[in-house]
Amino acid sequence: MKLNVKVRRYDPESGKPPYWATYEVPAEPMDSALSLLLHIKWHLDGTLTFRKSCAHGICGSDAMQINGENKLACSVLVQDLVKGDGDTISFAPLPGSPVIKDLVIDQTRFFEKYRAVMPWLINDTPPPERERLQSPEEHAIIEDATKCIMCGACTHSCPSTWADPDYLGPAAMLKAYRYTFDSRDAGSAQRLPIVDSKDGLWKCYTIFNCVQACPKEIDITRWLSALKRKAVTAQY
Amino acid sequence: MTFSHDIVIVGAGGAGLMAALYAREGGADVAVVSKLHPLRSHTGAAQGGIGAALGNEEEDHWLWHAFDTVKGSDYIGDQDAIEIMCQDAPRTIVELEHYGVPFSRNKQGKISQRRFGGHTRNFGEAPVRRACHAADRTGHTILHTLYDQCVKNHVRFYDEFQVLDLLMTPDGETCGVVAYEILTGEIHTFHAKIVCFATGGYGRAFKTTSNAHAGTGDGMAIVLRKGLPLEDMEFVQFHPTGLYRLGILITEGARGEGGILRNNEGERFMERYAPTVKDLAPRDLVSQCIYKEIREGRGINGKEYVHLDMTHVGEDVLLHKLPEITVFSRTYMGIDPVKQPIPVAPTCHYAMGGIPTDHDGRVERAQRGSTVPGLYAVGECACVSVHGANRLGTNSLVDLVVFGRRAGIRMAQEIQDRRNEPKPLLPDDPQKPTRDLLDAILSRTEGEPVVAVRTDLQQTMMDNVSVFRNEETLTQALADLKALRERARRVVVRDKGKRFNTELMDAVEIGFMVDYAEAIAAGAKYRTESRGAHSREDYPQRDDEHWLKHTLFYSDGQGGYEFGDKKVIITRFQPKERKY
Amino acid sequence: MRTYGTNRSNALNWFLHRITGTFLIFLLITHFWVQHYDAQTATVVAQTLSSEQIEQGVLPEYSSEARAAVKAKFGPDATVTPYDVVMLRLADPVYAVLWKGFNILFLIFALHHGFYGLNNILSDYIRNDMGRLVARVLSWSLALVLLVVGLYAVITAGWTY
Ligand SMILES: Cc1cc2nc3c(=O)[nH]c(=O)nc-3n(C[C@H](O)[C@H](O)[C@H](O)COP(=O)(O)OP(=O)(O)OC[C@H]3O[C@@H](n4cnc5c(N)ncnc54)[C@H](O)[C@@H]3O)c2cc1C
Ligand code: SF4
Ligand code: FES
Repeated sequence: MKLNVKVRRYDPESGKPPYWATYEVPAEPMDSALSLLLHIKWHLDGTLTFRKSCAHGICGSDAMQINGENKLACSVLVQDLVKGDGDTISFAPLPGSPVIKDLVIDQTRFFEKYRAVMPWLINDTPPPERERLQSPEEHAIIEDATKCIMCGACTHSCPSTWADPDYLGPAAMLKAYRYTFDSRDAGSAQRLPIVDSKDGLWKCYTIFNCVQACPKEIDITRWLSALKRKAVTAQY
Repeated sequence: MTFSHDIVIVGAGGAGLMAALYAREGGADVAVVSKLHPLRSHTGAAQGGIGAALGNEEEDHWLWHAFDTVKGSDYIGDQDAIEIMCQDAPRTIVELEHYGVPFSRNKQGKISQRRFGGHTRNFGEAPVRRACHAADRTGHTILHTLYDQCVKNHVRFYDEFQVLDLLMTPDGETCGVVAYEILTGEIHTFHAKIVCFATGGYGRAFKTTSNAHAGTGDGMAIVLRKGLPLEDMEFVQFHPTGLYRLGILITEGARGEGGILRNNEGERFMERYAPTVKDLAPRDLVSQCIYKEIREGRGINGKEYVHLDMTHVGEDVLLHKLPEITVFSRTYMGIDPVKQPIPVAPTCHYAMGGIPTDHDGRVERAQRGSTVPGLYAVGECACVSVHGANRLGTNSLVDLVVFGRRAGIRMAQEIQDRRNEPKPLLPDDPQKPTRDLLDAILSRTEGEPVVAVRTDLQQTMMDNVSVFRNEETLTQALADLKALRERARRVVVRDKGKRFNTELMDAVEIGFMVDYAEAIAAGAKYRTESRGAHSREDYPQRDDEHWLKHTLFYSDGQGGYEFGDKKVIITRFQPKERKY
Repeated sequence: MRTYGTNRSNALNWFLHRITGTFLIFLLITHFWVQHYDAQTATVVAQTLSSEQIEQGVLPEYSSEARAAVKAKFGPDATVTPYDVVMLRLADPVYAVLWKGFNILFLIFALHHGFYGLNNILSDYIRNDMGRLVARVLSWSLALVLLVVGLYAVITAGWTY
């Protein structure tokens, strides 16, 4: 079938404001959305710019807004986006961060926030000879959160982040959860005050946009709520 | 601009980050330069596991691991290096655990281990549980944890900087690299005492591959262009179970958990070829068997694939132990592995060959001991050689972390030893060759687009240099590559801008691809025997008398090349016929 | 790089927001029930009018209990208004403590809940720290004023009767 692919284009070097470009692209129902962009880049217009690498939803490069929803281009198929021949698919950059060019956004801030939550295991006791033990049940508490690929689909779907760019956002706080609830971690005292602040947890109004956007189907809001409860019990 | 650091590591996958972390902990000033953001590296795609004789599930011994690796390598892996790797693996994995890698656990709370192809107990008796894993996201969790640790330890990251050239002094000392900053289009010089390549694999030279779009073998080509050799490039691993047509990997862990390969008659054909380990035979063998089945008309519906049957292992195992591949099958094939078999075919997966190094990651120019001052390589782009002619599943991640760690420690030591020396002087105008290269591409207005050249390259490599090869196909491939080299020099890009010009980088990468593709094809033609993943139809036997040796490929960058030989080190295990 | 998360904990406020939210549900239900439905205490009329009666300008009647209670307290000539009924309740020597306590709790919870929410919205959209401080001080001052007015109203209600 043939599809109309609308892409939000922007090149600051050209001096032109952002605009929608439309391309006619041949496609099969089982093609990924990424393959449409690759077709444009390779065969129609080499200037079209987007990030990609693994092409199967594990590297987190190609989160973007597809038909108005934040998704990984490589992990969504044409058949799930259109009904048939001649239909339109739109691609735009993730909302809420500055656009570098076309579908490429500036992730500096996104990763700054990740770094801010001390995203590493804190445990100053000397490690044992062998692995630290952790029961399957303890592991299960964090397993869902360890699936995160830091694609940014969640944080860039969150109205709290759009309103307040300083808000740490779901991805960073999920990292905080992943380490704070790791049975091997002893860093709550350092990490919790960072998320228990005006930039942190309390701006999560349980809107659930992040959960809907997450390509790894992580129950983000649930884990952030657990983190909130932990922050409260840690205080009082 | 010129940036100055003790150590510059090129590439931020598992190998690069491991080296960076240990070098940093050793007190050195470390910069990691990567064309992708570190978390986008392909180590994140590694699914099934990382092998180590921890013995958490049943008795295991590093020597058994070493034996399996040697046998898997078809006796061409260097046994001293293999011993180091298998002995170091348990400790390194325990260290990773201490760093926070969220491994799956068994009932006692220890790291959970499962079966994997080619890993056996007691020197080949029966499959053993050796693959430590985090569901089927092992590489992902390792990559993320290592990045977290590097951030903690203030490793300096230069993200989305693509290295295009290696800088050396006239006396062959390493003094830095030249990199293109993708965001701004600026060229930068990195001045360093030590450069370490960790740029990963080259699967994108083949039409069907499990590798990322970024897997274009840059590091290998850059080193090759400096007159340094590449070792054992003819050994290319095809993983038996890639999703049909897409090449997306279905981990060997699927067969480790009980999956079975079937042909169009529903027959479990691996029983015929490998009666002891059956579907868990090593990859080279399974891929060759699948191709044979297909050639003999037993592909499914006469097409070029077979079935991976998981229907009997149960929904519980699929959802909890293999969640990712369950999702892949559903998303990309519209198939529910709980109910239907998955269509699979071999997919280009791993580079056994690469930049020759010693046990500490130091690059060697020719024979053992001929180290290049200040130059290191680790990970998939390097060849230690522990994988020989065929890598066992789970052994790449082991290779990354064990030799990444060793190189990191060694580099920190070297910086310590050389702390009173100044950095070797940079050449005059170090950026000139890179600038000329880029200007030439940008100023060209007539020519083919990159995709035309790349598609033809991938096609000829797939048709002529994949699982089975012979004199005729390889001659054809080399002739094609000769033409492709010319075409790659004349590609034209439409994007002339400075900002995030990925098309320009594609144009540079196609040049790299031709260079190392030639090393693969020429090496395959040179080696007139069949060994491991290198299967010559015209020389079906292994020939230890002539070929129990490594090949070193040197190129003049113009299509002229020559070979050198390197001895294989044998310590405990004398070459035997390889049967499973 | 901006430093994130360098201020006091907000956990208590957030936690109170949940608690007040939960309580407000019950307080509101009780309030509506008592104000509008309970035959004994309701301040609204018990009678439903037909459209003809409305056209004829007939006004609805209070329940006989409510009328009797008002007349018993304020004399046989007293006219019954909703205000009277409420005042009646708050003047009752036994129930007044209960109802005043209820209303004070309701007042405090509603003010905290509402103004915490308002502050969230303000800090979402006001970008600089000084502006946020000003907004916070102003809004909580307003809450305080409302609290005082409310407390005054609740406590003094029924005194003159
Ligand atoms: C789908 C899949 C599954 C796998 N599963 C397993 C498994 O279960 N067990 C196992 O042991 N192995 C597995 N492997 C193999 C293993 O994952 C890889 O061999 C390994 O991750 C390679 O790591 P690396 O650090 O060498 O390179 P990569 O992780 O590929 O990283 C390469 C890095 O180099 C950078 N880079 C490249 N070129 C340049 C340049 N020119 N300039 C600057 N930076 C550059 C990239 O940005 C990237 O950061 C799997 C591989 C694949 C593809
Ligand atoms: S939580 Fe999900 S959406 Fe958010 S960054 Fe991680 S993977 Fe992406
Ligand atoms: S390309 Fe890696 S997640 Fe889509």
